[in-house]
Amino acid sequence: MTAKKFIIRVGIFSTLLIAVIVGINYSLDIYGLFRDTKGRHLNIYADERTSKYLLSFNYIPENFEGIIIGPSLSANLNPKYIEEFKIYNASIMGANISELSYLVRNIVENGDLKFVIICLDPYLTKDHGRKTAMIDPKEYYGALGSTSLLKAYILKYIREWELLPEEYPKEYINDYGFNNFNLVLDKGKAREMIEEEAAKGEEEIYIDPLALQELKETLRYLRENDIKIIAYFSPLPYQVLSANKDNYREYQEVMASLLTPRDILLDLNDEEYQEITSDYELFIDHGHLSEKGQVFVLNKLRNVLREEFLPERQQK
Amino acid sequence: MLFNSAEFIFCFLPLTLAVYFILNRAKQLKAAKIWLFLASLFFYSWWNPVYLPIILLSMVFNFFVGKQLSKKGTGRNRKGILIAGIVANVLLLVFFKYTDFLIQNFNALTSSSLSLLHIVLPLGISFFTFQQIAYLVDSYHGHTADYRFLNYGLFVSFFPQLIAGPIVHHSEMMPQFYSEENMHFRYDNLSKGIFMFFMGLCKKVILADSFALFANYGYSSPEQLSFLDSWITSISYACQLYYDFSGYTDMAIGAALMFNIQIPQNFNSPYHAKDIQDFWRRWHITLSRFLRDYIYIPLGGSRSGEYKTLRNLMITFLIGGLWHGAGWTFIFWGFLHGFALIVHRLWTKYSPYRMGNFLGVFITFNFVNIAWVFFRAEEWSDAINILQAMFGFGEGEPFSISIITDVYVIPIALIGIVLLFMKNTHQRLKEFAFDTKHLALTVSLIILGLLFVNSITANDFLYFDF
Repeated sequence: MTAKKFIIRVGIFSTLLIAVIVGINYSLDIYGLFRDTKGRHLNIYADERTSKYLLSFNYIPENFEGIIIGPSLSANLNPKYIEEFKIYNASIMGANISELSYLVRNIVENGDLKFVIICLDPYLTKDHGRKTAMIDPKEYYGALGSTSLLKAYILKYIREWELLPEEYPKEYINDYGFNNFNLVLDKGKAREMIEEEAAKGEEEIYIDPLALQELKETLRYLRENDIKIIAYFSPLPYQVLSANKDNYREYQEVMASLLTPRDILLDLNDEEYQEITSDYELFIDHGHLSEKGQVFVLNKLRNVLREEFLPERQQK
Repeated sequence: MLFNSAEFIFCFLPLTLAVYFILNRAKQLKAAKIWLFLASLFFYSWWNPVYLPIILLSMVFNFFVGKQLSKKGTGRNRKGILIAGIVANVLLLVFFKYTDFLIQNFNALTSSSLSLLHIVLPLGISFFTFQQIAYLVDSYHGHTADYRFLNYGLFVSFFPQLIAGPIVHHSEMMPQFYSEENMHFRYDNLSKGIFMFFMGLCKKVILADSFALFANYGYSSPEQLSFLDSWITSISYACQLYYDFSGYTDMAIGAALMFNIQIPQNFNSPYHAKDIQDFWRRWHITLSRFLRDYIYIPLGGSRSGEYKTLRNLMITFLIGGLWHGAGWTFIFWGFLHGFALIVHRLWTKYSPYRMGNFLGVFITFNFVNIAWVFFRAEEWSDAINILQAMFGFGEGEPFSISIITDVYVIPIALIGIVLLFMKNTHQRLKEFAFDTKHLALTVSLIILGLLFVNSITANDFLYFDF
């Protein structure tokens, strides 16, 4: 083969292969970026951050009227439980408000969102900025061919064929964004972990000033776009809360000051819920909710949504 | 602009190449060179245009000083010009690279509290400064020809080697820029250049960036490393540094070859070295060459007796350490290598015992690996923590592993380790043929490289910091 033929063939084969790879990924479109997403059910198989970020371009705005945002404390809420409303759980394990605001802005810009449910927990505002490179506009093109996409395909088949059910259970994050991480976490240690946490006593709750500013900006942005804000303080084990009462109340006051009378605030740590939040079975550890806890929170949210939106719907 | 960025691979490189050869084909040879020169400056200023005047001034200054030095018969005056020229270059480097280091040491010595200036290091300044010092010294010795500014400018700024070397020598570059034969487009060089470029790209984006995950994790929390963690951390960094820097060099060599310019080899399987001297013949070869020709030999080399030879070795490597970074850990790293070269020299001279190849490679690699700990660690305490853990005095369970958080990287890391024992990229380039095997290999490298470039793995090249 001559050098000229060699280089021409390199060009042709490389272009063809790239076209094939891009074509396959374009047609599979597991993040709903390139084709119409109406009626599609897009589950997540790997990298919650990247996946939810990419789904926030089209899939979430085109298919859902409301979203839940927050850290892991709200990530395991299954919005399918609230049947009257199509809600996507855009919460991300370990996320702060900076990361979540990328998703919120994408969803608001590309759809017709009616409400946002915000899980208020100190984790949301304890730091700011992107914690990883996984929420990156570059990933948009990565959906045409990248290592994270390859990883998603591999995990899709590992999960669907149940090759490693312990580490990668079949049900991971469903098409409503519900992260069923309870499947892989150790169970039966809630009491021990809650008591251990409570024994630590009063601990300072740090609010990062920039994160607080970002939360304020995000709320302002939602109001500007006429989107209802429903915030709730995620229930904490009463034993842990009692040990941190003063600091937590202080934190709650700061958060409440960000909201206006138009917004809705649910305090699920209020004394009236003491009996419920004292129940160890509500949690899987010192803060994350068990199925029982999820139902408690989802019921409360459902009631609020019904009151707020059903009369309006019935009128229509 | 990074070699592993889409804008370089899909826009800058093809456009620069196409216009260069179109102009050459139209017999606009000067215009082609001006284009290449301007493209190189654009490549440099992509990072931060503010620093463009620095390289331009440095280039103009050294060109004219070199011109003065090449004039014969100015006697002592010439030596004065040479010293002034070198001092000016060194001062420029000291100002940008070492000011904060000097202030810190001054503060520590005098208990004062002068504020640090936090000067941003212009990209490639260590490389183009050394390159031009060599040019001045050679001009003084009458080893340079009457170069034209455009060719000189290209020698300094030619984009493949501008940011992180190799540290090219005017005697190997200038004739190539003058050669009219090099101005004709050549399919063979383009093919080899693409092959080499994508081998380098894969080394960087697949191997180096994967090892970086372990190394960065380990070095971010050195006090918590177990025995196994510390070894994985240090070996990962040794591999990361090699694949990162040699990958960059391969890309530079490949990109230059597309323009029919041959850049010297910078790495020759350094971790196969049988002794420390052998290591420095294989690692960052062009830096070793510079240190030998412009520091070690002018100091007297091995011509003035054993004691002075050993002293010269140590001084050379202390400077080599300092060149890599403004910090005592870098100087100590240079000291360790200088010390090892002294031990090696004395051993070779006085000991009747000769090590076998395997033992030699084993000891050399482990020494180099341990020395890299000082090179990479941000603080003395970090280096000490890692070394303590490596020698079994660390915290926690010795055989627990906590730094591997992404299991998907393990197969890549294993491939990277296996590749260390195989032929290097230069050996593969020498074997390159226009056959189906190399066609398949080139296409695979292109696809793999682009797949990783399109992924969130990109880290800057390590040697950009030096």
